[in-house]
Amino acid sequence: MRNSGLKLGDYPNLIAQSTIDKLSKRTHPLGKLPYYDQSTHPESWREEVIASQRYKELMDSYANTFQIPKEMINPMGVIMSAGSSMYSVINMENGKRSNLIELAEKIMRFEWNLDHDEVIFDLEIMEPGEIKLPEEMTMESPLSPDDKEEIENDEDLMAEVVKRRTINGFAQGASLRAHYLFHLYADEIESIVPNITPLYQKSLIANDLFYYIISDEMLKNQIESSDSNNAGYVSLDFSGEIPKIIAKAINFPILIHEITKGIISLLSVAGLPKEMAKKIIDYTDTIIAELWDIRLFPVLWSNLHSIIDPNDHDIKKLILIELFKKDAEDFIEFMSLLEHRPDYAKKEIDAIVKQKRYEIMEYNFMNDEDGISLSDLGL
Amino acid sequence: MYFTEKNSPVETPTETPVKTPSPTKNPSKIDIPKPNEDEKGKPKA
Repeated sequence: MRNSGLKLGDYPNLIAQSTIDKLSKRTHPLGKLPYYDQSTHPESWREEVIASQRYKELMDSYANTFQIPKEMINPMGVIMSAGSSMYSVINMENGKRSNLIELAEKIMRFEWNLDHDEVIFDLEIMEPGEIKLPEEMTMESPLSPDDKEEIENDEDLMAEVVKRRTINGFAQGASLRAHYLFHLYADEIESIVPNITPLYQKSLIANDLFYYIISDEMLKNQIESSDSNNAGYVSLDFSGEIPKIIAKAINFPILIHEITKGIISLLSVAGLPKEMAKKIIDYTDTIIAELWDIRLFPVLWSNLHSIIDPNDHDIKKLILIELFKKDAEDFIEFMSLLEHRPDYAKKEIDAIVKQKRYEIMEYNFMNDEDGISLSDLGL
Repeated sequence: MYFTEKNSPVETPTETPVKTPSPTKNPSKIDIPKPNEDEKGKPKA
């Protein structure tokens, strides 16, 4: 049997054995994606390299947050820290929720440059146990074995599956990064709830590390056994003129997390498969797949985010739409560049930026009394 | 400028560019096509 290719160095290995096994056998939803960098084969799969990087990053942050040596971190301690700090946060936020919701919307509209005529937010912070996951969310794919086989035997459909899985991964990866945004807005948050941000940090880092400590099977049991384990969810509503993001969460940073997922999911609608979209979604969009998105894709999201110039963050939403609109094959080709030649991937992003800036400049010239602003040109 | 038969200078009529408001949507805003209800993607936890 193959030895695990995880490279944890001197970090204590608290990762659930079944997660290690799935990484080694590549029997998880993000296994064997065709664009992965293969240069570490056969010693480590790319997924193992990503998991090692993410796990060590989380262990370092946990040790730093709780001021303990990493050797002292143990599974029970992490689980207890996650639970106790989460409940302290919820108690402290009690009575301040409407102000926090208002702030969350303000922050996210600013971060993503989203106006009121582009998206509507329907946000709620709820008590733990009150959040019931929508019925259409399923642990595993609801497709029959025949339907799954039909997809797996079709090269074009499998390319759509890879694209969809990748975009889902980005949605979770971006959210895992975004829920730490509270550090940037600490003053505004603490003007509503004094001294809460250190507790946000504790509850979030313990919760993020928890996904490595607990197996899929245990998480599945937890989610199925009680609604009290649901920290939030997000869904999209297209029934009105303007798309709506509906996000529910048990506290402020989880609300930011859910809104981020909602924004990326909304942008991804522009790139839905042209054929058999429902079947592809039924094949890919499962709760178990989300667990793997959470474990692995913060790393790949950061890789993508790092090639977008901070000066272009005002049009990040437009850049992502253009990427997601690519045909599955072209999208996979872009991901391959991101993995192997990020400098070339950056050139693609820069070309999108140039095109978008030109379109905006042209539109402003035709519509604005004042003519062109150099800032429209990125100058 | 050009000269008339009477040899007096007359200003050449110049064309002033006219801005016609573009009927297209503002490209700085997202424009997401409305998907079929069962093709919008599932909620995410």
